[in-house]
Amino acid sequence: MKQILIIEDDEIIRSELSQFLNNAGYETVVPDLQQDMTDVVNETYPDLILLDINLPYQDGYTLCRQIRQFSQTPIIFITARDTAMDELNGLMMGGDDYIRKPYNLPVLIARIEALLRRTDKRDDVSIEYHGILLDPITATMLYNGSSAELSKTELKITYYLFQHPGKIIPRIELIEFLWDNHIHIDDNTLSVHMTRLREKMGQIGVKGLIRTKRGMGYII
Amino acid sequence: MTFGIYLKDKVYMLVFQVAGAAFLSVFLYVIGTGISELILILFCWLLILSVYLLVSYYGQKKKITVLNQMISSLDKKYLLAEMLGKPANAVELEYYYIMRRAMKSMTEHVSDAQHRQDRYQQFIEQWIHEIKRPITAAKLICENNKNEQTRRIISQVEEVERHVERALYYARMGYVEKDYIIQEIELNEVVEEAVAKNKQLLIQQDIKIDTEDLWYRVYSDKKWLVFILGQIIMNSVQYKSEDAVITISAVPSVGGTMLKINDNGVGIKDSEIKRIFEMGFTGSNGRTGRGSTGIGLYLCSELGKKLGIQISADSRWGEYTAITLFFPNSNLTNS
Repeated sequence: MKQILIIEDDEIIRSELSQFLNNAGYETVVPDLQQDMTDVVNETYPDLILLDINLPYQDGYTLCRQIRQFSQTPIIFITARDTAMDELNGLMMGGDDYIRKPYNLPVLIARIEALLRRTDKRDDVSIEYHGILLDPITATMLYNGSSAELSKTELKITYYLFQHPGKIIPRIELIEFLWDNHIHIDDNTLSVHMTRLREKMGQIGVKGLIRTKRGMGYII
Repeated sequence: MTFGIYLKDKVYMLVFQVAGAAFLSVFLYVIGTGISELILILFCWLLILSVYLLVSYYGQKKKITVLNQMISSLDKKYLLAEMLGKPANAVELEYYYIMRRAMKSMTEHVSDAQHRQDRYQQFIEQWIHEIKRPITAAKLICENNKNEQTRRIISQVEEVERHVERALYYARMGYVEKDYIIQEIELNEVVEEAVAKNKQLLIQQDIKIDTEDLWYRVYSDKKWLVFILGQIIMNSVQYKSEDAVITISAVPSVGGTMLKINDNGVGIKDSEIKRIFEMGFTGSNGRTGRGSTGIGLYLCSELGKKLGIQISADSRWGEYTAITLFFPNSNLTNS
């Protein structure tokens, strides 16, 4: 699991961000700011550092420069300072990216992933559920030797459902997931896609897999 | 100042001269001076008077020309009094002191206002900087505890964020030129960011967003562009109708690239379309109680001007509104 070091002075943001990154599948290190940060970096050896600029003991720019003297760990500045000068400063001191508060969380995750260039990108791996194989690279669904081609939206929906078997997925959660994957659809359109998806599944003999829980969402 | 106007200014003196000449002529005639001597005297009088008038006219005119040149070369025209040398003429000296007093008070007033403005600006920036912290924290807390309520809170927080951003960018508008980094950006990137920023609200309002051909690249500042797009998208949301769809597409055009944000909302009346970029203009749509401030599009067009983006609008009442951003190719992109 990739490890992220969070250097941030606000306690609430620190713990919530840490929890959020844990949920997204990262391990986090949240040091107390009274320690010497260069020591922390040396000891924990993180894969990525999220660095605030306004810190109580030493500002983020200086810290970044110090870390750069011995480590090439990717550093993302996350800060409420948002002028072009701040951004340039951050990049000149050796930062790899610069995100302004209040950040958009899917965007933050996307930037982190881009920097870590995660090879184990979860939605590129094929996934199986009850003998139904979903191959994201070719966007096809295989069952008992027959196959169906899925649209991008259908693929994402199926993928999400397959990742959470046995759990009721509210429609809003599906829509949010799709929006985070650059498919901006509304509630009605989701219904259309669900109907089409069920038809395609029916054609290859998968019937009644996705059940609708009235007023709650979908479940497989 | 022409000579005629100058003479008109001296009319009392001239009348006095003529009266004096007439009185002298009568007096000299009575004591027995001959006509020819009288004419000679009057001729000399006229000659001296004319020379005096001409010389003083040119003198005055020269002073005024110098003043005019001085004031047009000054950047801050109210500082003129500081630049003037002391006049030799006693009356002018009095004028000079009076003017200096007026100007001094003016300068103090201006620098005082400037100072207050700077302090206010600093305060606003500081305040916005500080308010971002709780906004960030609130978003994180909601994200970590997702349910129906927190989703609704997020959409409210997104709205708070938008208002805060407006305040910040309004405050910064005076010196945009000090606050941008022009870089090559793919339109897709900025559109995605602008949409992601308002995700909760867009989803809750049942908006569908279609994007087409956004792989074109333009040279601009990402931060400001995301803000402009966000404002335009929110404008579409505010004036949406049933089954709202926002289509964002890019088209290459003569001398640049066009980014079009098209919605199927209530549209803008022909009579009002020219005014939608004015500050505080809400139009008849806004008055139907949707909480318009008339500031979003105004900010867009002002920022657009500073970034060299031409923003225009096209609409049909009851059918659609299309806002187009035109990014001209700079010399940089051609070479």
